[in-house]
Amino acid sequence: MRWKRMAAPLLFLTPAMLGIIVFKMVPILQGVIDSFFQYSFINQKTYFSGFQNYIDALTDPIFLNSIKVTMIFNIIVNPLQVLISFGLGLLLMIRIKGQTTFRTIHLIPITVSFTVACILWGVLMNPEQGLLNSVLNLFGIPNQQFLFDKAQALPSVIGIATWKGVGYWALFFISGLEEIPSQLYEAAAIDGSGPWNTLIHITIPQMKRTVLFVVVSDTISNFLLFVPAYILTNGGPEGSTDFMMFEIFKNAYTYSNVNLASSMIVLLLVIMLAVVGIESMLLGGRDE
Amino acid sequence: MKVNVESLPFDKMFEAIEVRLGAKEDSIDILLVDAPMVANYTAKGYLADLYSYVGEKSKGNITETSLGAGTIDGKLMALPLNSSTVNLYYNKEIFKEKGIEVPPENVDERWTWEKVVDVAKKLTYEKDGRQIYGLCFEQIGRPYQLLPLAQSLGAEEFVNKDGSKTEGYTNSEEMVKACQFYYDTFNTWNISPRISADDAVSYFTGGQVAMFIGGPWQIPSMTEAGMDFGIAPHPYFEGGEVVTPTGSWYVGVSNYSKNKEEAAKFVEFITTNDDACQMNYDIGKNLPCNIHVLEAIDNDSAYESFPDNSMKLAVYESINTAKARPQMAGYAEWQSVMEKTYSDIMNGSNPKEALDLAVAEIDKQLEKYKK
Repeated sequence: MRWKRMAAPLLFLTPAMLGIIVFKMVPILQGVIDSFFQYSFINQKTYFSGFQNYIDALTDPIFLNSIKVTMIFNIIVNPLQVLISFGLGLLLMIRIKGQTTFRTIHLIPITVSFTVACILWGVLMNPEQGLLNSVLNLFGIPNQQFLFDKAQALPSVIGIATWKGVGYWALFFISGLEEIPSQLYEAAAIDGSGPWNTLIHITIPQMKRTVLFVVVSDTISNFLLFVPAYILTNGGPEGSTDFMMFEIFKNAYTYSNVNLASSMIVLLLVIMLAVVGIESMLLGGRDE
Repeated sequence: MKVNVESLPFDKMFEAIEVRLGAKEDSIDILLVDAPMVANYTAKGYLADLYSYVGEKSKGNITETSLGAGTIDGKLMALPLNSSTVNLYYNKEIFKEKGIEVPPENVDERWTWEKVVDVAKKLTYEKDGRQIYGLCFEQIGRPYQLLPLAQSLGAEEFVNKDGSKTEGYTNSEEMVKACQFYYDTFNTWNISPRISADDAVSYFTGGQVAMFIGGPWQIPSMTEAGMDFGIAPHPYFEGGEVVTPTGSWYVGVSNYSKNKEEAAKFVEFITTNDDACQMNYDIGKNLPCNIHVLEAIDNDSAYESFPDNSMKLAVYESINTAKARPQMAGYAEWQSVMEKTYSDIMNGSNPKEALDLAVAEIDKQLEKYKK
């Protein structure tokens, strides 16, 4: 009897679980194993090297800088993206004329590939003849260096990533908002609750699970950010946009040190798990 | 025999080779190898020894120096597709408009960098709302065109003898001075545009740059743009040595290829066969390594007239002033860090500090090639 009840869910879960095992779990395991070995070009052989790769990674000032850059980036970009996309979600729920047009427009950044978007932003932010500088000039502001200035590069990347991300995350907020039973709002309206009170006491508590999902997914995607460094900044100027993923990629494919890169990947995974764990603890809690 | 060609942008090709040959994939038979990368790919075991496949007669068809640069410890790892040189190109209209004399053609009267900067300052101005720049390197941020700055100031080596240490070499006093010059063109004199190497030639052909340090392979795009340009010899620092860049693409056979013999035959054909080399020259206008094509250039009166006379200059430079990039197993790492460093210097980093950081990073990467 019990087996019969289990059969259907198991059947539905199997394809997804197989995918996760083959494409996620096995490569992660492979990476962990690789991180304890070192390939020698001179002898064309792989040797067991214990924790040496981890020691090398954690004593490498360049990699340590990339951890710092990734952390600073995430501390700023995640709250920013979640707040803006939540606001965007609320705005897109308002029933006004032409709302479908707005909803379509806000989808555009999602449909553009991040690579293409980065190239376009690179053109817009070109210090020599970019459109953004032309606009600034109209207001009497001189040309800015944007991605070529070590103080402006990271904020510029944050801007690009946010532009790209908020529309996508807003989609989840919209579907979350639509799930809130309308009776709650009707009841609140009868009790004389204003829009602000309704937002604080009804909308936000009801959105808890959506918020948790968006925060966690957004964090993961931003920790793995790679494209802007690869396409636009090459990690510079002076390592100011040198994200962990970019540094790991370079170690693997420019410096041909896959084993060291594997240890860095494991470190990234540990940091990410810790951050996501903290987020889940703070936001999740028990269902009230 | 059927050959499938895959083309990739400059930077991406090095990566693709690293990813695919690093995984010992057999989908590539033949690959282009930048001259200083021959040692790197050899150290990593990516290339097959061509010695037994290539005939003695074919080896005799190309210059000894170019054959030597493809040979490592007596093994023939790659053959040269062509060599290269760099000249000073200038936009005649901009010079005329400002009433400034153009740089002389004669190699003995070549301009110094000091003179180039002096003129470039006068040729940096705004015209109809467009910024015109006095000077621009074609390969902004790439060692190929930037090392001769340091070499002209007397830098000899960029890495120690066994290729394991760059500290004291790549951040030598001459190198710091050369990078200070590079820094000044962007940040002090503001005579050069801060752009990427990919955009440089279109700045010149679009009339936004007066003097352009570039290779003859850009002549076809200059002619195509219909611009009025002239060619002069590569500059040097006053009191210093005349040094010009050289070295270009080699062709090698992947060690993991299943068709090594056929691949080697094809490589032999495109790199040493007289007709193939002549055709390669006619299309690409690159300095050949094939002795017979070089002789033809020297004897043919057609090369007296503009712009083909640039080839005469190229031959002169390659014999008298050309210096190769450093030969080292860790060239890939060295190049990657140096490109980043040059880019930081362009964007305003202190040259000495940037170079000190660079050598520390490079030396760490070189450790894996130690025995």
